[in-house]
Amino acid sequence: MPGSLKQIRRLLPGRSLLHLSWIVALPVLAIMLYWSAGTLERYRELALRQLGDNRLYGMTLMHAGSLEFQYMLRTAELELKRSLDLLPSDDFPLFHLFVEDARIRQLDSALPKSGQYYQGAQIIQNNKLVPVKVKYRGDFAIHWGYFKKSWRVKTRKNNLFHGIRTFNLITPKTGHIYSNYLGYKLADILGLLSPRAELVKLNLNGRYQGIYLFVEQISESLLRNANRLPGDIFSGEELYGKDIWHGIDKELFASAGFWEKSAVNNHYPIDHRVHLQQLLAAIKGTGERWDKAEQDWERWALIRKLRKI
Amino acid sequence: MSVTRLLNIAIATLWLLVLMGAFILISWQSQAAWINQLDGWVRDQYLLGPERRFELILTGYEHTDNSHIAITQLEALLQDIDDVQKGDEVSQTKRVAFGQLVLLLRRNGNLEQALNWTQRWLGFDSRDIDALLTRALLLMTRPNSLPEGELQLALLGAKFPNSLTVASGRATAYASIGQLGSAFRYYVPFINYSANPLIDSIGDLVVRDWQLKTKPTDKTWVKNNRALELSYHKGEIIDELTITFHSGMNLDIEIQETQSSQELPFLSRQLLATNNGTYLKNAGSYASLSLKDFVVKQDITIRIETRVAIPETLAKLLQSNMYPLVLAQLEQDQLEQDHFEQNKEARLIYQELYNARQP
Repeated sequence: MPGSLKQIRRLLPGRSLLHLSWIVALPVLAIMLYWSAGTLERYRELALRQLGDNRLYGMTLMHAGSLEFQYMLRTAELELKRSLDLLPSDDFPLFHLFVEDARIRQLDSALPKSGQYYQGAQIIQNNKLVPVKVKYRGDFAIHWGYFKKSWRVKTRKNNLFHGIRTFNLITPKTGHIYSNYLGYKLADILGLLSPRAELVKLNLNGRYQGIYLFVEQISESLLRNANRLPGDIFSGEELYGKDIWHGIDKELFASAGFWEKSAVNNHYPIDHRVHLQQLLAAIKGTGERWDKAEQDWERWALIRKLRKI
Repeated sequence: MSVTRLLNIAIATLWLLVLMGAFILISWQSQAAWINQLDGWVRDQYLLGPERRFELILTGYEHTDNSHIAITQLEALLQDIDDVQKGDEVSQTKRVAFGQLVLLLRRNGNLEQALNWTQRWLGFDSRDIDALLTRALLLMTRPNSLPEGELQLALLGAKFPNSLTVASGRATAYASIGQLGSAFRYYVPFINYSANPLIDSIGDLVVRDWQLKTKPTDKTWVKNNRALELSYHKGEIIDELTITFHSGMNLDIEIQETQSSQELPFLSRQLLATNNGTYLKNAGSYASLSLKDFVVKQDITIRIETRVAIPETLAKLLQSNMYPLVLAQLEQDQLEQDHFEQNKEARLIYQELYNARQP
């Protein structure tokens, strides 16, 4: 009797189905593991470590899991559309960036610090592969902690990208992708000195990443391209993120120490800040509330420009 | 064991893992409370764990006064949070742990070890003013590295010439090697009314680095004559009103209430109540004032004024036992150093200030 039962069980189709079920189980497990690893990574980076970033308040384990799931679905959708050639056409220029996986792993190894060191990469320029250096760009996790990273690209001195040595490919912080772009364009229309900015599509290692804001990094190139004489450009942004000074009162318009030079007038030492100090003293010396003084200053700049128009 | 049996076990394990994964996914959808509980527990361990550990070390040190144990524990804590970076939520604990460790090592006379730790502190954040000032002070007090310490202080002073925090750090470093006259001179621009509008002199009203938290949240504050003002109407309930002071300077904080005689029971944190009804905030501390569950009986305007307070080192230089030493050094400097007029001015200001503080 037991012998005949064995024979019957062997004849059942379920047995062979069970043996073949790994074909289904393995991909399902792989997807689950991918989701779990992504969720934990995102949770660690965004919900535990970088709470100092105001945009991340409220990020929970639940959110991290849902976000990862949405990302997987969206990636699958985009890949499918791309393979079926269903992606909508548009006029945004396509920018190709190639970074080896090992270099990306290096950038991601101990974020955010690891992302601040340049790695070798390539871009396509005039239908040729051109060597460049890249790193992540931006102080806040929104630029390096999510799926789309913001990049800073530095070209070789002898091979500038449309006359630009360093530029940024910035991931939109919000759905209002146009706001920053329009600011730059408005400045351009008003004839103000402003970095070159464009909305572009980015392909990273051949994979579509979405729309990015291309912005020239403010440097001496900006002056050269605008046919201005070399001079000091001060940028005051040492109040947040990795550049923040701890243990000192952070008032941008009270101390020249919070300003760095993006371009240097080499007639003076690099630490020469007398002109900036005089300007800051003039602003504060008005005796008015600072915000009012700043507004007046902006208005004055605008009026001067309009007069020229 | 036959190959078929091994295959069966492998497939069963695979499906078991899939089922576990499915269970997690279903829980994600249907058991949000579990996931949130787990989230809360992890956050508590990760974010508050190091802070609690640091507080335990400090409490233990206060009870036993055994700095060797505290040093070992602080080193272990810093080792465990080694991967915490500047900007991380836990970075504040790491920052104060570095400061405390270096302080204890310095008190024990382990200057070399203290210097090594300041190096790691600056590796964590090269823009920490406390770390930079502490390192310079250690270099100045260590034999043979006085010029290096002076150079670092000079560079920091050149970058932030109008900062009382930096000036005070420089003064403390010079005072620690007995150069009391030099120490006092760093305070001169902040005592005498300066023509430089970028300088906040001692005693000036300042409005900066405040963080206000109010519940209900619709309350907005106004700046009026360099002070913070908040108005409430009769019958309103203040669930919470917390003002946190992040300024790196020493501050004198005064709460005034107008149009009402109702007492405001503010609770203070890391603030010292003074005899004249104000609060003193020391440099580097994150002090706060909070008022909770308060019923407003009459229309009221709460006005909070903060003034630049006298730094500790300057207060010590103005003590009567220091007076002859400081004065003698200032006179000596006046004779020996290049800037005769400046040194003369410093001496006169010192005398004037000292006399004004005598009862």
